[in-house]
Amino acid sequence: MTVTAASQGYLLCDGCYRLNHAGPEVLEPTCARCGTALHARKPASLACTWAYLLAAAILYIPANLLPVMDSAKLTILQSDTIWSGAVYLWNEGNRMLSAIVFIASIVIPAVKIVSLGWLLIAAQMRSTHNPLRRARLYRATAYIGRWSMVDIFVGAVLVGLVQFGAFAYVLPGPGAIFFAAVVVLTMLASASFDPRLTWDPLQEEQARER
Amino acid sequence: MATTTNNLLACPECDALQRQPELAPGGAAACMRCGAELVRNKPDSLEHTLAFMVGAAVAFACANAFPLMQLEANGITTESTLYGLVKQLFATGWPSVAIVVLVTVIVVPWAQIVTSLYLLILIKLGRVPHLLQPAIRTLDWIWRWGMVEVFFLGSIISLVKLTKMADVYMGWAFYAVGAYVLLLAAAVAAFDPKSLWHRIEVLRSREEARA
Repeated sequence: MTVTAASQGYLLCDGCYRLNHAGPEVLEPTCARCGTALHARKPASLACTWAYLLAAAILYIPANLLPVMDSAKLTILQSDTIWSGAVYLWNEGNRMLSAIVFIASIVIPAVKIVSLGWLLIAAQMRSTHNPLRRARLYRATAYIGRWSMVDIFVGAVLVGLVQFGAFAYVLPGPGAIFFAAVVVLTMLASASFDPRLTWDPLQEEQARER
Repeated sequence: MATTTNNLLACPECDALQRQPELAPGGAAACMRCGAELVRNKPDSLEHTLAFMVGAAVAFACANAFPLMQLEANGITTESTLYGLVKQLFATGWPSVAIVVLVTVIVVPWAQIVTSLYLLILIKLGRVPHLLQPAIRTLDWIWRWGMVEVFFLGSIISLVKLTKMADVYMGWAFYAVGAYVLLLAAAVAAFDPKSLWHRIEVLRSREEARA
């Protein structure tokens, strides 16, 4: 049987990881070592995570539909969405790069939005089913989200370098900023989710059985 | 409240309360319930982190000072530094993307370097930094927004894309960015917040004894 810190009146400091003891009589506990305000769980974690996640899901649509890059080579003008950019790389024979762009820009944000949505629903429904799998999923989503930004940086380097006047140039398209917003919002969503909420229903179940 | 919490640990990911085991140098303890890493015994953590961070600062200074890449096509040559990319993005009318790149690839890494060197050097010299709390809170919040490693992957991809249309030459900054990514990763791996706080507590009690 697992005992949680919260059930024993211990609060873990988010700032310095000191384990502080504070009973419910203390109104606004702060860490004895570094002064950070202590919370048993991140305040309003579910509401904040939902807000960031829904915003990310909405912006995911224009991020994928609008072109992220316009390029011109002599008289050939080309407008690329993330998908058409990946297809272009694939047809050019750069299958590795095409796969990296496809996974980092299209698959990861979508998987991250769906996974965090699942974690939120499971926490809200007080699910006790397979928390270990959800804990691992959370760790993976928190780690991998930043890599989705790679396409923005590819665009930035191309825009910065390919400026040959009328001969060839690259301009960022309107989708780029939506895309960056999706990445930032999913990162904020996973930072505001408190993974301890995945485990709390187990404690409640233990208490009920006793 | 006189509660000994010295050998008790709470898992930051699932809140399970457990006893801290004795750890050999380099040894680590994982949470018995969710498997998250709880503690790792890193000998000379502060010194190693400081050394890697100084190296990272030098590499990043080079990454900012030298051109990243040079492009040659039809007799025209263009080259760009890290900051030049941001300027070009501003000039082409996309300030929002320019700001994203400026923050994640230049501002946050510098803030991270300056803040962590400030903390590490003062503590190494045996002084408790005045701005201890704000510095640590800053580091804790900004680390995730530094994305130089992602930028590095992005510049490799654009390099391959560009070789089709022009002759591409990698500048010094390209290698410096690579070196910075490795050194920062080494610094992060060597860093142990527990031993840092232990040092701070020792320094504080010494200061109190002197006063």
